[in-house]
Amino acid sequence: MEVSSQKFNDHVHQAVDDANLKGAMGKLTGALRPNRARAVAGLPEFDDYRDHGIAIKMHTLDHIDRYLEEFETNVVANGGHVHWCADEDSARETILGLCRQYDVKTVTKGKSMVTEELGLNAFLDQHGILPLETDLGEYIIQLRGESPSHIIAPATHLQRHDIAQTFRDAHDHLDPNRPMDTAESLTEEARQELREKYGAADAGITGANFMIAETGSTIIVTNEGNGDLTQTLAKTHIVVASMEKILPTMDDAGVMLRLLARSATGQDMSVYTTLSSGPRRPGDLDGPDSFHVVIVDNGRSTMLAGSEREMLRCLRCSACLNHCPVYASIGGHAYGWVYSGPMGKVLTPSLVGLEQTKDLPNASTFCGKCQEVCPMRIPLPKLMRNLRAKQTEQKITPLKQRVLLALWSSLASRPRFYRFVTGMMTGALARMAGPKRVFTWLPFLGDWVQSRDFVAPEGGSFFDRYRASSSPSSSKGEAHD
Amino acid sequence: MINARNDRAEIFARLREANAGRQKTPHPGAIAPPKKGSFSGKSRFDQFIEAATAQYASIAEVSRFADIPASVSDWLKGQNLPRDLVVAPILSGYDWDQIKDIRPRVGAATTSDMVGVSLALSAAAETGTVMMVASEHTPTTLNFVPDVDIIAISKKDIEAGLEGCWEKLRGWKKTNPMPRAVNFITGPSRTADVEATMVLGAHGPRRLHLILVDEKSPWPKLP
Repeated sequence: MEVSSQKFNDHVHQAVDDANLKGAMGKLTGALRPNRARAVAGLPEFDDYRDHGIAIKMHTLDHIDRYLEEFETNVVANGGHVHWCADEDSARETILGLCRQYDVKTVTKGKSMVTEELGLNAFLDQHGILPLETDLGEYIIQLRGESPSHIIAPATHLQRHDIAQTFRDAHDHLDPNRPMDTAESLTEEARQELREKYGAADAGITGANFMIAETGSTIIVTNEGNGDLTQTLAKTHIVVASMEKILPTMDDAGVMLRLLARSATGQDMSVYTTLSSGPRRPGDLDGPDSFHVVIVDNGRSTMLAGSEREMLRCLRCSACLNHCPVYASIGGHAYGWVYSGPMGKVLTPSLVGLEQTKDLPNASTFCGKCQEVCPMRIPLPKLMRNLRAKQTEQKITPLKQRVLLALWSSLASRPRFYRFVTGMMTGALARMAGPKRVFTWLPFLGDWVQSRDFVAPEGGSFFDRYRASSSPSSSKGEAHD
Repeated sequence: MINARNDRAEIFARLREANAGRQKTPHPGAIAPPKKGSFSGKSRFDQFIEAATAQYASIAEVSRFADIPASVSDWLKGQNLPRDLVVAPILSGYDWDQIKDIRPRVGAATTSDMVGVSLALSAAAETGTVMMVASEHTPTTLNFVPDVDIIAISKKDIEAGLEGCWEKLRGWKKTNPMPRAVNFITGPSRTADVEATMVLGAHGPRRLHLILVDEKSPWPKLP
């Protein structure tokens, strides 16, 4: 998928002025934040599971080659095939090659973020293969020609009336006066439209939440049932998975499943958790005739070697998005690529490079909520700070900002000089402020004061006041209590 | 396909290089299941029913597998649901034909089927989840294609948590290949993709009905 993160600031301006988006985001966070809190409270052992899950992930990443090999061996033993793709070109060509091999004309798709990375739908379309998204949210945005704005709720930027209009335009064979004003009626309409499509598709493409080395299985976790219809009714099942989804054993998957659903939608267990392990067996009455797993690197091995390694623990649950004040204000499209919210601010620069994504790691209040709710305790603020440091080292940060940072650093690392300068500035600013005691304009800080005022300092700097309060008359230890 | 083999060598070389010289984290081993996944006896059974019904499944109880046709018929009648059903081969040996008002067929499901009836291999009380395996006895389509999904399970096969289900699967694997699909099912299909509002019956079944049976299940004996 093409990156438009360079235009992040323009996107933000559009997003914050979009009242419809604001309404839609309020509905998302209003539902998912309390849902998660309830689900986590319902499992007193949640934090133990978190620590255990992190240890499993760290172990698996340390031995990722071994577990991927074991996975491959077991997929082949189950009658399936594994394909290794270093980058998006290789992955797209491999999937196209499989489609050609099985003479595929139409493809049904379960939700998969990695196929969004690959821009797979547009690519298949260009080569005469019709891809059809079957997850309700994905179906809606495919009809609108949009990309997902959330990793598990792709159409969360839309409200009912937007979706009704989309369906009215797309389903023009239906009665234009049909009732379309409830979530129920819209869901039912999509169900009826897609019902006959699963069996008619030549191939079904799904993603994978996990891969299990022990059994050679891929796992999808869904609520709608579309992923299972996609992979059961099509003649060929193609799984596209990024390689960090590997886990050693079924029990390890059990630990992750307990964390995933609670962190994502606030369910104890999603409705459907499916292990897929090859094509139909002799005597089976249903299931695909062939089974292929396309394992995609596309930047993961570079992350494994680099300072963003911890990001490979991500389960794609979306808890960090749902709890992020920035994401809640601007929605997912502003981020300009597949992933959004705090995880996107780290993952996107790691996968597509710092150059085009320079605003992403900077667009944070560093409130720390993302790390707090992350089931894998990924230190997202720290990783964003690492990326900022890299930007400055590589001179990607704008010159003005680098000069100000250099000035600040020389000031902050010289305590006497710092006290002298801040003391002077406090006094000067106090004198310069008008009767309202606020500044609505400051040099070099035009953006900062655009939507807020800077309050004028009153009565000396902190150090002056601190020194005054710890004068000989007050006891020496008091200030440290 | 372009460079498929070369990519493999390249990827593994990069992974090994990235991990070279790193201190390796040991596998943390097994973790005890949570309290809810540790219940035994009656509290396990109560936990299963509580969790499954909280996820909008309905429950019936019978003493023998041979009672299933009558139980299915009664429930469908009571709910005013269609009486044409497609039944998993493993349950075909019971007297479906003796029950008035239902029209059973044995096999896999197609989009015209409204009601599917199948048998679970195991279940987890912790979350009210049943575990299905794809096999010649139990086609997967029965659980996803019809509007109504009816699943029978022997009470003896209800495990406390997921750990018990994995054990069952390992037992299965001793004498059979890994099932093509293993489906953990917790309630009927749903979505919240429109304004984060939960709607039951997305693309899969609108209803999930579980029949709990006292008797041992008719699965071929597992080690």
